[in-house]
Amino acid sequence: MHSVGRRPSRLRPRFVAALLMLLLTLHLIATQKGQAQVALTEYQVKAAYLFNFLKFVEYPSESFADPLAPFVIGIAGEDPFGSALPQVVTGKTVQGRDLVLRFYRAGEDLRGAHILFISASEKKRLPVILSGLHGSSVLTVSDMEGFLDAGGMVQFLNENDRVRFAINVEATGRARLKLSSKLLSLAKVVGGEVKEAGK
Amino acid sequence: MAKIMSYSLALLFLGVPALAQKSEPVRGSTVDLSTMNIEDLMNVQVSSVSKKEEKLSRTAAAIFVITQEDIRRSGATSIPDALRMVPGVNVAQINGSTWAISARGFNQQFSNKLLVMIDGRVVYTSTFAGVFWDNNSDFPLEDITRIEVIRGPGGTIWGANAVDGVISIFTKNSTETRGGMVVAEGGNIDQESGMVQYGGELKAGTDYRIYTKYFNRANLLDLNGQNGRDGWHQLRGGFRLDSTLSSKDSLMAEGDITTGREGELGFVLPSITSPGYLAESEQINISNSSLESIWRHVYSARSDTSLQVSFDRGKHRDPQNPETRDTLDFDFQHHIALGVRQDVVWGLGYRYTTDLILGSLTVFEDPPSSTHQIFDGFFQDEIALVPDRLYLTGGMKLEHNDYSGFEFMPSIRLAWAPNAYHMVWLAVSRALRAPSRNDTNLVLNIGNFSTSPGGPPELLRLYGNPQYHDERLIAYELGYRTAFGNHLSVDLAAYYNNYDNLQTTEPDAPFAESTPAPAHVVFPLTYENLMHGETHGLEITANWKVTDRWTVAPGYTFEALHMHTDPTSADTVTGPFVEGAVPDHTAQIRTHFGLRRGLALDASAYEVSRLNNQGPSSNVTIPAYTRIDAGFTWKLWEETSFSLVGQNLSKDHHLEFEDVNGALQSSQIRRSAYAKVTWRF
Repeated sequence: MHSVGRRPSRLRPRFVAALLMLLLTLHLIATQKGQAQVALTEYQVKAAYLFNFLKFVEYPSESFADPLAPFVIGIAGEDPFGSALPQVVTGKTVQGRDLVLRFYRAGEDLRGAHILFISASEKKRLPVILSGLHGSSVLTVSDMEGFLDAGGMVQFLNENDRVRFAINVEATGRARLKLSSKLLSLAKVVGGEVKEAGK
Repeated sequence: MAKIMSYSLALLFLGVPALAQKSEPVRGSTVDLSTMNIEDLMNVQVSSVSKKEEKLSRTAAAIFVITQEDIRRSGATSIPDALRMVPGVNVAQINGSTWAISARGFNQQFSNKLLVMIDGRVVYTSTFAGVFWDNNSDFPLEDITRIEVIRGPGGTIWGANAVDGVISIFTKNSTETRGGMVVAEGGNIDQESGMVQYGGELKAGTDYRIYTKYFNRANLLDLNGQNGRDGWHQLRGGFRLDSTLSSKDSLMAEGDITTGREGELGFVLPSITSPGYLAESEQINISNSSLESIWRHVYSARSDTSLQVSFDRGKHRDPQNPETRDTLDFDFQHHIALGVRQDVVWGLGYRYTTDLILGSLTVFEDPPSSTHQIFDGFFQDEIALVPDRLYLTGGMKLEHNDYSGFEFMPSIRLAWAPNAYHMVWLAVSRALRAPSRNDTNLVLNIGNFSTSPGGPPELLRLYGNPQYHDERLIAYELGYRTAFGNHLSVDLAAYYNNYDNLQTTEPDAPFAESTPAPAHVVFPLTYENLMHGETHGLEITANWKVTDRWTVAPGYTFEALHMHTDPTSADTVTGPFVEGAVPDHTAQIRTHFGLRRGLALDASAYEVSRLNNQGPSSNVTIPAYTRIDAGFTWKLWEETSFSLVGQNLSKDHHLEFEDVNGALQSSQIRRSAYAKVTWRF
């Protein structure tokens, strides 16, 4: 092979050395930053979202048996969260209420949940689940494609390796759930005009 | 120096395990997720977003989308190399800085039936109705969000020159490039190369990024295996600004400046008595500056408009015909949903382009300077005959240019999805290739072919034809997409194209000329539209997710061209050249394997069958070749990755293209390798 480099070849070792020095510097800097480094999985993030959603939803008063009744976070179908969801909710309260996790099996009455995550395993039964919730005030959440079109309320979206969400305001309106304007401003809103809480 | 190097190497390798240990305990569990608010969550990059079941694209066209991930995994260092993964797109590197790129045939250095856009701005020179890839493709690949490639006509929306394909390059919104990025790269061909970028929020709702990039590429080998003197170095800088003006208005503005210098063995006719071209080592200075803004206004979820204004100044200082061109472009589009079933887009456009092309004995334009304007309007309606199942799209474009007057480009497309897993589409469209400066104003001296010693030189000369017509195409396309669960998807496209008014070079009556001395007889050739032809082909791509960590993407292209000259034509060269300029068969396979701890392996292989009737004497065969690229990426942690990539691994060097109509001698593409580190902060 010919030596056909445009530059005099003596420049090359210097470039390699510079590259190595750069790498070294990056290492040192990143080692400092390493401590603060957080690597979260998709379902850890989604678990934290479920917890956060509760803060921004106003439920009709009949959703709770009494002023101290807990919030029920329900999972329908296979649980994709693993330990993430218990870690998020354990020992926490929202609006003075404790948080309770419930895992539902097929056919169980889902109306006791305040927020219900419908797992992708339930795709075929989705119409049954949603029609069973008709008239109740359960915030339904899923990451199934087409969830909002099917009448679901909050759908997680994956955008550039980040988890975002879309809200079907017609469906939340039918369920008499009032969503804060802050939540709506962060979401992709579909289905009619935006109705803000308290208006 | 050696001491420093060994010291840093030692630290480097000592540092890695220590770091891995440090970062391990924070992985997930110790972070209190409940303290994170929604804004935080929205910006967390998750380590394993599972690809969800994706809807099959409803587009009734042969579309292929190259994602940022595809670019990164391909190891490509330029946009042309990234385009190799698209079946139906012909990519052949001619020398260090020149590529022949086309879709569905008609490939040459000055390919003229493909439209290329960057963020909606047409990058196109009316000199030859094509793209100078060298000063329009050195964008930082890290900033590209996707490249959409449509094979087949796009004239109904994009107008003349979107004949065989449309390539749309989209850069990332500045909100996606907050923070800093440093890229450093070095290798035997892609030598010193690097980029520095910083982006952030200027004020609430307004984001920016600013970058600079430099690369230096080594010389390749000429046809004899000697130094091809075609090295290339280029410096680019630019910015992008994205602003939300109100809840209904957004503004994007971006600007870029690039300047570089590339070598080539250019074809030069030293004197009119010379029997033909000599390949001379030349240096070409290139530069380009562009400014673009797009203002979008949303009236409602069913109606929005965009107004795009752009200006571009390109300089391509080839010593034989240095060119400067200014282009100003206005583009307005309105998208509106009518009723529940119709989705309408219509638009108006105006382009003003002015150039100055100086010449030499070898080649010049007559006149050297010219100005042209294009006006156009289009309308397209997508009708949901059966929502989610059957869509009919009809549209047309009316365009007026100074060369050929009014042009009419209609198309009709039908998409049928019997269920969520199958989609069939059909399309018939008419597209036109408008005349260029070269077609109409070129004067090219080819050489003295006199055989009688003592007699006057007999100079063969090619003239552009001011009466050159549009080249026309009627295309019939058929496609099928299917998905088997979430793991395997297959995309098929077939076409039959019928072209008319294609270019030939025809002899005219000889005449005598006294200047330049000595007195000589000119045997003129003139561009005419005396060829027609059919092409047909098949393109298949598949994407198979074998496991969560392993994906395989094979592809195959078959293409065949049959050219026929009219009875009045005397051109026997152009037809065979066009037919032979693309391979009959191209097969490829790309694979990605994600190992543990941020390690990933990527490899791709391309098999390209031979090209016939190429080269300056038009009877050269370019042998079939296999290109193998492989790369290894190590994501050390969230912000830093290191990669090692080898390209063209199968052979020390190989030839990809020779162009009978080109302006330069080809080089042989060398085996190469580079190392790259990317750091975000």
